[in-house]
Amino acid sequence: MHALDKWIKEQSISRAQLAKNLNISLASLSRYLSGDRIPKQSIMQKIVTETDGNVNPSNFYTTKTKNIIYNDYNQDHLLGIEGLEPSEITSLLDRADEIIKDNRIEPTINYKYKGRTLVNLFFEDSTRTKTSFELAAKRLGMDVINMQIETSSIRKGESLLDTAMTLNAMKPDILVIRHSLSGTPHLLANKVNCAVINAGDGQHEHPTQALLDALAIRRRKKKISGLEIAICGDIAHSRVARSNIKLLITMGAKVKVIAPTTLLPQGLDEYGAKTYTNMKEGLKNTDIVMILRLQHERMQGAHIPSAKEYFKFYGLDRTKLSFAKENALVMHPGPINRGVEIDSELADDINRTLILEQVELGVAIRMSVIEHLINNLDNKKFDITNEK
Amino acid sequence: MKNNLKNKIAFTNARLIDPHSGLDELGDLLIENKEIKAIGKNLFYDSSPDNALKIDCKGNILCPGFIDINTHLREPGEEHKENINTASESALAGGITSLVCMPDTQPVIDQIPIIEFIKKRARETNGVKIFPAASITKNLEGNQLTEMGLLMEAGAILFTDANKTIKNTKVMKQALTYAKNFNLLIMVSPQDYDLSLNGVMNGGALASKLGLPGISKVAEIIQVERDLRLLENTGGRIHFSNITTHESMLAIEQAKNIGLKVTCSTAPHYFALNEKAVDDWKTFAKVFPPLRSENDRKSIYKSLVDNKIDIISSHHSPQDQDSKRLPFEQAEFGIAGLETLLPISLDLHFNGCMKLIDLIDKITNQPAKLLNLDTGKLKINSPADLTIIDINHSNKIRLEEMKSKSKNSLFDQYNYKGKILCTIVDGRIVFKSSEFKC
Repeated sequence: MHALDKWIKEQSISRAQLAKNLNISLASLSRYLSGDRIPKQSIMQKIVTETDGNVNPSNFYTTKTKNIIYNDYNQDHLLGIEGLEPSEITSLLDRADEIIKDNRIEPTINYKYKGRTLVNLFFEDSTRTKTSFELAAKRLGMDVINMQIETSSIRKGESLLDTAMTLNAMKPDILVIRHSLSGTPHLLANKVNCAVINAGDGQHEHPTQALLDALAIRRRKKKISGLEIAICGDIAHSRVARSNIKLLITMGAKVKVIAPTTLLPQGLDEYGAKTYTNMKEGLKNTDIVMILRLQHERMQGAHIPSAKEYFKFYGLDRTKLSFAKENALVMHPGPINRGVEIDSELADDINRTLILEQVELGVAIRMSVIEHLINNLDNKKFDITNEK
Repeated sequence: MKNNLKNKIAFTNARLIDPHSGLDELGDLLIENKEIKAIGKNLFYDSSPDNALKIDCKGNILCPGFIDINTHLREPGEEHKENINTASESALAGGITSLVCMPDTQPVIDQIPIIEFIKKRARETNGVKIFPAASITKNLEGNQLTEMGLLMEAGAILFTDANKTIKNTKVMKQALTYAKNFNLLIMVSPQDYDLSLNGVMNGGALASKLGLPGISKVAEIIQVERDLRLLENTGGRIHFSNITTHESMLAIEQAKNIGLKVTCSTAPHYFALNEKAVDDWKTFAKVFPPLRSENDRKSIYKSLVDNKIDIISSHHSPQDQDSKRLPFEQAEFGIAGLETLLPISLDLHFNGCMKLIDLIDKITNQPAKLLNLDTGKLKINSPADLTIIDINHSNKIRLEEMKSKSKNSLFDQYNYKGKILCTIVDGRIVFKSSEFKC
């Protein structure tokens, strides 16, 4: 018998009464008791308080719950890092860590989500992100549909909502979207019933990239809080930078941004990031150096005079890296412009860079995100059915 | 001669407000044959007027009908967004009896036949009075001047390239110089072309956060300063519409002080809202020029209260659903504004301590003065274009009740005080609210 059931009997109250005291539905309580679901942290605390510690969290982890994730993520979608709580980010990172552990011991395909569908809706070219999502979904046994929408037509957004509604009618579970215009995933999320993952929108956010970067940092440095992290390059046009700045500051890191003034956006202080225009000053005492890709079209005079000049002052080489801490690590979201933002030989030094590890962790983080979202999707459906 | 009941109306017990003469007191007013015939206290004391329709205003405000100098009618070309009939109904419901329509239609109002077309459609509609503005340059391209003299003769009341600015400084200089020949009014919505190119909202921290390309406020300031410098050199008249920044106001004030013939206007959304309305990519808040920071909003509000901004215009820019239900960068600019012109502006009176007569001045007498119109005042033998307002009536703006064909307003559910009860154009009652009995 479940410890909580035992306690209920001892107290001679009903399950319904307890559910009422905990301010949850009877259906949810039944699921906790049957082991189909693990209470969230907030509810767990209530249970411990209510039972004066007679029931503790370990009572809820049984063999049956092995495949169930500990879920502190409270959102229906992953549209950005903005607005996420540290506990939510931690939940996503923790699960990814577990997945990596499992995968390294027993790298088999899990049929957990057989019959579930993930749609990759990419309005912008992408190799890494798209394949990473595809692989993550396939490792979870999902069906994957890849849609590459031609971006050449001038008014590409014209049929955007129609496309989304058509896809929605096919009832996918997860919709992964990348679009060159900021806010597009939010627009779609309001119109569809499935969970939406933002795989990069314009110059706004790229949350899974920031999550995998955070995971890479946490695995190497064992923490994020308290680290000094420098982000260098085209901050103004980078969604990766925006997501990373938000995430790292939320998790308690000290974030420094280093870029020429033409590539710095307005209002960075509002996030709590410190800005530098000089690599030597900015890299001082840094644990992690994140280098961003510089888009080709921005190198020819509009934002910086030339790639050569950029590399001289902002390209990362061993001399500039020596200004950082002795054991500082280098990260880059890829693809790399060798000799523009980073020295080619340095980029290949596996002792100093995390570049390939970032790619590997991308699959785990995306599996974690998918699991959390499907879990929430199921709980939502479950709650709705029970309310009826 | 027998008086016809239809063309004679006696308004009694009205709070007459006329910014032109400074009148604000209880009185009566008589209109006959499209014109105002008598104004005064106890006009009908001894003898009630024969054969006249009598309207007891019950102490409500009777003032000149409003004149809106910045309306986008969307006809010809985009009738699915708005047409002259729906715009007319919308204007009349908002107490507006005359409006200036912008030339950025399809085709552009840059030739006499298009002016003729608008005038014909206005006659057919027989509602709000429409004064077409013609473009300064052919097809709004900023290169060649239109036939300004001929267009003026055909009925163009002013010249503007609407939301577009003339990029080429030399062309702008020529336009100002040539306009002086006929004492034409040039109107500019100032925004530096290159600095505002591709921008969709106010440049700043919020734009950075949302990942949207911003339009720096410098874009507006630079254009105001450039055109004022040109005006100093060429002479002539200029009107800046859609002023949104503190620094533009400073430049305009300075120019007025040295005697340049410059006036300016803004629209309700620029003093009622700030850029935060855009948060979450709300495309209804996408307007051109963009909603600015809170500091600029406050500054524009104060400039109105301090009487530094001459006119409030609606900047009515209807957009249909399909033009707004898009990713923010692809959505069209614009907010529907005819029916919210007075309700939003009244905040200046209720919360900004602006005298009612001064507020009404900015939507009646000042635009009339700018355009040399005979209307916009309570004056004997002036056209009987009038509005009756119940200043104490509290209500909520409801989008579904708006008469504009497109209902892209940000002011849904906005609580306001001051309702238009009745609108009269050329002595005809053309709008009556359900509350108004006569």
